[in-house]
Amino acid sequence: MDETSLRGLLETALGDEPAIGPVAGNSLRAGIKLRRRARIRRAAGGTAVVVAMAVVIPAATGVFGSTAARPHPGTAHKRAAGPHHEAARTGTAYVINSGGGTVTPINVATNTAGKPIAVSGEPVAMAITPDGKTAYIASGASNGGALPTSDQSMIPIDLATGTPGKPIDLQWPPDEIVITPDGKTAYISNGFPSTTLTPVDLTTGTPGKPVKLSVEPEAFAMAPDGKTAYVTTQTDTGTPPNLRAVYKFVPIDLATYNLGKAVKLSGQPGAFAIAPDGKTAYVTSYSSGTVTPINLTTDRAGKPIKVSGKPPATAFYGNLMAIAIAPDGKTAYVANGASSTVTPINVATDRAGKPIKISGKLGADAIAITPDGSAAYVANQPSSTVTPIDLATGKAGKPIEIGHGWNSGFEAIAIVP
Amino acid sequence: MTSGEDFVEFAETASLQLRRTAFLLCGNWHTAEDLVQTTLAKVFVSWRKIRRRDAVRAYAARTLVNTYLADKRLKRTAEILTDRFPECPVEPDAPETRMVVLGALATLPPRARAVVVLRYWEDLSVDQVAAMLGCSPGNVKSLAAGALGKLRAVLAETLTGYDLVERRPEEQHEVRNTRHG
Repeated sequence: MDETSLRGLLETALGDEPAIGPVAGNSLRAGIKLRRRARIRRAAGGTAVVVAMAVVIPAATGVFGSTAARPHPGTAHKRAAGPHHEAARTGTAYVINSGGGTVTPINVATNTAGKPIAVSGEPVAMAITPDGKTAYIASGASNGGALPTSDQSMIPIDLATGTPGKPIDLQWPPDEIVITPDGKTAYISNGFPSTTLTPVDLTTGTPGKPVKLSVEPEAFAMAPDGKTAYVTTQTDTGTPPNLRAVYKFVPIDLATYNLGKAVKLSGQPGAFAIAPDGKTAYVTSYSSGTVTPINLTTDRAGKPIKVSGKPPATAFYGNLMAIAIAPDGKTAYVANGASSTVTPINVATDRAGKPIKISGKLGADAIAITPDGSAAYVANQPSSTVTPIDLATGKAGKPIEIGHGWNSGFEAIAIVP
Repeated sequence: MTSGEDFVEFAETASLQLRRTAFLLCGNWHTAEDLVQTTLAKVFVSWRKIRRRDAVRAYAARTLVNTYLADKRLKRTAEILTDRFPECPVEPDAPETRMVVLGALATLPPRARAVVVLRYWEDLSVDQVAAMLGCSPGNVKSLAAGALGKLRAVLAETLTGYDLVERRPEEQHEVRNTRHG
């Protein structure tokens, strides 16, 4: 049996082919769902966190006023902890789990998980109003479909009662969500398929017309003044197969939706966070294991800060998946999924400190800092836990078990006072 | 063009050929379509990365084979060789040969079957197959040799006179006729 005849035999084996179904469309829908899961595992799990933190930070500074009396988290973790840190901590952390379709509250005072709140669809992002009363959960279609059909919505949760309200239907599947500091408007980004921002009037619960952007938004966050939003994007130059990726950090004027001057990034961006003073953004790159500060006044990228090594091409779990900045703006905390660690970065010197180990060998998917800056909470998907870190001592506490194992998707965590 | 648009374009052009390969791997058009769908979904996840390389088709084929093999590892006895082709009631083109070849393919272990399909259907080189399956070229060669030997034996029992054993000119002619109706 030579090769030609074998090929002929194989061809014979095909016989009459039945008509093919809508494979392209189906695989696209399934692919979008997979990509979202991969995103959780790989990189941008923190972007939603950033979004939530961007909202929480102004509220927190408003509530707590000056931060001078509190220990500086960036340096204080080298010192011994005073007992008062533990006693002072109050509030609730909310973790959204896209796999389970739930939002789980964690009591920050006792570090215990409450009863998960079920929401429709697949929650992918969360933002909390500055008054801390309502969480808005952006939820994609649970059937994995992300084509503009139905089923994608923004769900308000009354945080006092833990009850989900009537979903606000969205035309496009949500990726990220931010809320303006006045609490009146939410913006929802969608990269694929529409490349849009959709404003939602939160006083009436009505979505506006989606605004088409000329770039495909990936990570998305808003400046503390609520006037400018920022997105990371990836575009390809050249013609296939010689395409080259160009990564950019792009400001968007929320009054006009005009794009500002884009800042070119050296590596593939993961998550980013904006300092409470709105002057600097810190963008993680999971392809190069660095964090790049961007001066938002001059729109210039600073020197990348080395946080971890470059992950191998075959790495299953990416690093630098999330970043959050302490309310006093002095320390940025970067979650590294490849090693289950959190690295503090001293913002004044742009130097990375010693990584703090959290539970598990793999995963650190989302991070949020309490409004008083005393603790960080890090969600770890592979071990289905959330680990509290005392930022004064730099020590990880006992992991809090939530979620449903690998099937869970801890896409965001946010904390209210 | 967004990544979605050119992905759909690729998926539409590639899905038929991928389904043929999938069919030869699994022997069932329904499963083949499922395999292709899963494969293309996985391709979409890495779309932006892979379309920058000249590797989309190869990546898809590799994903397909790995999806098939992973599937086989999960449920080893999934393929049952009875009433296999309800969607093909008419068998105008060499029905017997077709069933026999499928039956013979089904006797091969999944990896050996993958080697046969990749080598002789996808026309990949030994090195390419080795890279796809993550094994050595020598391993591919021995798998191929073993698989061909087994196919010969199984086919020789049923397809007497087919081009498996000593091929004689008149039989070869006959085979061609059979194959092309």
